[in-house]
Amino acid sequence: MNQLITWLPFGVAAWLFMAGLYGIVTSRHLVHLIVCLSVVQSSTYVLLLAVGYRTGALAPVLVDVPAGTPTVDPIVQALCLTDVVVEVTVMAVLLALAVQAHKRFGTADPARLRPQRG
Amino acid sequence: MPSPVQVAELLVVAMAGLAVVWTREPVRQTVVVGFFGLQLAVLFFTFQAPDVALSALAVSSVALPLMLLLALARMRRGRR
Amino acid sequence: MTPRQRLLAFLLGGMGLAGLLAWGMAGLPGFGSHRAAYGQLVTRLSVPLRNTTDVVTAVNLDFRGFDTIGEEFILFCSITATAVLLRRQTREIVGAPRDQRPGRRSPGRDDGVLVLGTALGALVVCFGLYVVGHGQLTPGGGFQGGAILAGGVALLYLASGLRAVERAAPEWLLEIGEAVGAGSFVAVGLASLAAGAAFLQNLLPLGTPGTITAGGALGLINGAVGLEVAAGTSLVVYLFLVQLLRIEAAGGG
Repeated sequence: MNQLITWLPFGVAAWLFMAGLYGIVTSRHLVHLIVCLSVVQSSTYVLLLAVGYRTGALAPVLVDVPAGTPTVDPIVQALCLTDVVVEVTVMAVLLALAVQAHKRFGTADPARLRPQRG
Repeated sequence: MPSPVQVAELLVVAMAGLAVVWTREPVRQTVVVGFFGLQLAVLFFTFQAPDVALSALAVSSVALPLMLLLALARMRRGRR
Repeated sequence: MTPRQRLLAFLLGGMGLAGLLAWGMAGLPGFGSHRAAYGQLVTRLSVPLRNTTDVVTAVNLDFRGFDTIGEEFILFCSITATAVLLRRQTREIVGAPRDQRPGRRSPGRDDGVLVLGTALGALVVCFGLYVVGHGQLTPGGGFQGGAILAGGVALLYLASGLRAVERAAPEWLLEIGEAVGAGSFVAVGLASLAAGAAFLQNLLPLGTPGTITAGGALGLINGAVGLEVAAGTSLVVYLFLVQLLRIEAAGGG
């Protein structure tokens, strides 16, 4: 049981990845697909922060603690930080694509995006 | 060994992620993804990452649902 | 491929992927026991070398500043792509905002929403500027503060409608702000290069740790990033608003 709980953060990251991927594969609406993609992205944040965590350490802000106290890894936090904000603009590009596709084809269903002619 | 708070928050995030995927209707999913972003921010906070939690909060509770709703409103307008 | 076939393919592939993920994660050092040497070194050196107490901002904008230029330009390119995708196309016209057309059936403008939304919008902008400016001291910085400032613009739209947003944050201002923000980051780096040092090397006086002047060039870069993210994210929201409310097919629709 102890082993399982120690492995839980990585397990949740893998779970979010698989769940998001399942949502993308079985999606029937472009916007639903885009939101599931954001779930997949958030699994990478959970994994990165779980790897950088250090038991008993503080946040990497040294304003009120003396220099030399153990902190969690700041490098992975820097990666996740920029990633979260950039994710929103990438979602914006995908949403713009979805809006224009809906305008062109009249449907937001990924399976029906090519209208059958004839 | 994650602390009890971290374990609880991880389980909530896992369930919220599943809820986001299972909510098929996009407008309802917008609300659920706002909740998911909030839980992510709390999870990052329990992982001693306040910077990441700040940006996750600002982005997933404000910017992302707003863009989703605007895109959905545009699609609904075009269908009428 | 029918949906059932797709689901079956996903289940087969997903089991393989889950197996690989489990195998990979079993090989990771246990949760909380990983000691990354580089991270510890940076934490130890952040205050002596850069007078910055927020180690994450120092990593983002100083120690690993070159990577952040790349990230910022991903943001810039995504916003440009969104602007291109949501532009007025050949058979479309830009009309009056649909949310304020006469005869539109909608709940009327509520005074409470208007006053509270505008007041809160001002508060959010102040808070966003505070978060951007104090990135060197406490959790904060350009990225977070920029996202909060974009939320302020969204709040302004929700309270007062599209015309208020166009008056307070017109498109040309957002575009100029975004370009100036992105360019200033590179300009600071090039200035170091012109002064004879490495690209993005910190040459300004470092100030005292714990005050807003700490970090030297880091403060300038922080402001540039905050401007770019705020203007860029507001621009994206504004583009979606215009696509929804102004752009329509010529001939109605």
